[in-house]
Amino acid sequence: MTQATAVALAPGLASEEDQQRAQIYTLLARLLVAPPDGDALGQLAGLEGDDTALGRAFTALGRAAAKADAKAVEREYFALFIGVGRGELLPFASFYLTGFLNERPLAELRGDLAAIGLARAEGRFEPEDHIATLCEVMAQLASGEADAAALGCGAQGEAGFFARHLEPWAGMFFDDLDRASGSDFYRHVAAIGAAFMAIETRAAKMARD
Amino acid sequence: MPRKLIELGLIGRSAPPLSRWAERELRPFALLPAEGAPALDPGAVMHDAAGVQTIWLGVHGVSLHSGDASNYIDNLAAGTPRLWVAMSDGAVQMLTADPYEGEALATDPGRIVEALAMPPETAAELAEFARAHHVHEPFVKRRKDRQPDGDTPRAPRILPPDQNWIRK
Repeated sequence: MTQATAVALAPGLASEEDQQRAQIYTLLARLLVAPPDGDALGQLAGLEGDDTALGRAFTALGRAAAKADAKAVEREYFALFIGVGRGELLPFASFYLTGFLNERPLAELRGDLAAIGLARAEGRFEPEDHIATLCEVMAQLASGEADAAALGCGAQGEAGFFARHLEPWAGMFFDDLDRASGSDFYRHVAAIGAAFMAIETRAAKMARD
Repeated sequence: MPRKLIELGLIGRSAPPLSRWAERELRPFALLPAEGAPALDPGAVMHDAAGVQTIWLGVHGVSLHSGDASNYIDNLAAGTPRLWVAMSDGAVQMLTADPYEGEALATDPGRIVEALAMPPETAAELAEFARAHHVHEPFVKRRKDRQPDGDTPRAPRILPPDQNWIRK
């Protein structure tokens, strides 16, 4: 994994594992930034995983997507992440780490994103420490589209970015997504996220050591 | 609350006006212990030198309060211990040994406030009073009792159903 990560830091030279990691991050980002529509649910229905924890989670998501109604998933997404006043969950790093939105973790993330050369896209109004945005950044780092070598000061490239911005809270968030009373379809997303974050945490630790 | 009254004789000085449109101005000038006070009526002219009059303003009391003891210590620590004498419309309003009260009095432009050196006997009495009644209050920097961490955020991580407006 150490070698694979090192290779991934060279733009455009991502290994097959890193391409797959980028795909999983992209999938998580896609499901967490907005509810999947009917077409997306149809594509998800074709998912079939192997017999690992992560693979079984993918199979379960595929089966849930086959049965899910796009309208119901949209309502579920609204209740979980938007809500009236606030959603059932607040998927922001700052909230999980400090108890408040727009706190220091967001400022540190913005500093790191500026160093990498990434910025919030036009028309995206959530703060950058939203879980979907962080998954998108990780996908770009894994696929080699973005280069994290510019991160100094204790952050060692991609593994350092993960350790600073996702590792401290992403596991807690996916646990909450699993436990939230409004969660039904998203319980399967939570299972993928939790399993994947466990793998990524171990991999990032190996890459740092 | 322990208090103490110290009596002092007060001398004022009235200088001739600098221009024809101004008036004579009487300002506090010196303090002396009440024991040595001259037997004069308040307002009596003690001396007149080319229009500059030295006027006896009578015996006045300065009251010391135990709660102000730390302010008196500040006063005594500042080189020359002083008493603040406030006058308004030619009459003595009050004397205070608390420098902060004295400076607060001086913020009124309609009032004449002078910080006069106090006699050494009075300074000794003040020091004794301050020493007897000063209570040291240690400075405590207030901080948040508990730093928030990931396990105890202020708002609930998962919104409780009774606070959720969306009914399923």
